[in-house]
Amino acid sequence: MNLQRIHYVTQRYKRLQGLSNLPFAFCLLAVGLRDALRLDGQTITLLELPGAFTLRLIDLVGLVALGLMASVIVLRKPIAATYQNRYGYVESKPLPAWAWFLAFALLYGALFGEASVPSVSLFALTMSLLLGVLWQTHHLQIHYAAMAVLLAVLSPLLTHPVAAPVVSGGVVLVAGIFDHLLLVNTFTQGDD
Amino acid sequence: MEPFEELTSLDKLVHEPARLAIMTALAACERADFLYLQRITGLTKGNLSGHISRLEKGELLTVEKDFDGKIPRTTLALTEKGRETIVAYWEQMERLREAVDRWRPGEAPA
Repeated sequence: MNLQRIHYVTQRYKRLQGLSNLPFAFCLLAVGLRDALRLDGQTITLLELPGAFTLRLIDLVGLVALGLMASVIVLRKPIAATYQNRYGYVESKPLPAWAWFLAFALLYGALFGEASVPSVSLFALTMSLLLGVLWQTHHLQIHYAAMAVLLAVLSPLLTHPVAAPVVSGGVVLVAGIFDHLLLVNTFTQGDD
Repeated sequence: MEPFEELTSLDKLVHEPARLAIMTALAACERADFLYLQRITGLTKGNLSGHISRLEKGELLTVEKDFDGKIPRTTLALTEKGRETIVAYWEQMERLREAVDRWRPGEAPA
């Protein structure tokens, strides 16, 4: 029994439930896709009904992004319940409110705002700040620090409106997969 | 205190590896359920129950039984005494480690 790992995983059990990152990650990726379609300028029409209603691809992707944004909240409980049924329940101190606020401000900015200025991507810098602060205050795994540094370093290159949400979405996705694997590996070792 | 004296004075209730793992997990959170402790320690149900009974008897943890919907759930939490005991145990282990570092075989006791 690895006592250090038992302590680490128990203290961060909810934070390590990486599948809960997936809606947020896919939402960022959908935002990137919507912006790519908007910049492309070509409006692909998916459905045209007699009358005024037309459904374009960009509208559909925007709706999917909004749906995924809502699913960040809606899917929290079912995902937590899946982990609880499989690995059990741990009550610990919740994620601070400011972290949720920052995450949603980031998403809101990505969906409805101009998230970059000419010289540096504010979106990537905010994401880097969020990951770095979470890593420092919650003593998370080292990949959070590595991704925070990577996003900060790449922020001057991510000024294209599509780049920042796509790279940030990828980072959240990878972080979630690493966290989930740590949790699964810990319990698999316990089975031996 | 000599390292060997320190070693003999360790709290046996906590020093046993399975119970130490249970205490370590519970010290890292507010409370956890039986399933989590079983998964994280890798103990069997019977073995885990036995160790929990001993710790409960020593007033180091409390056991609560309730329902999560229709599913019965057993939740465990360290008592104040339990938290103090695990902190004292790790402090004692640290002192022991330092004493072993200083100790030279054949040296007269202080």
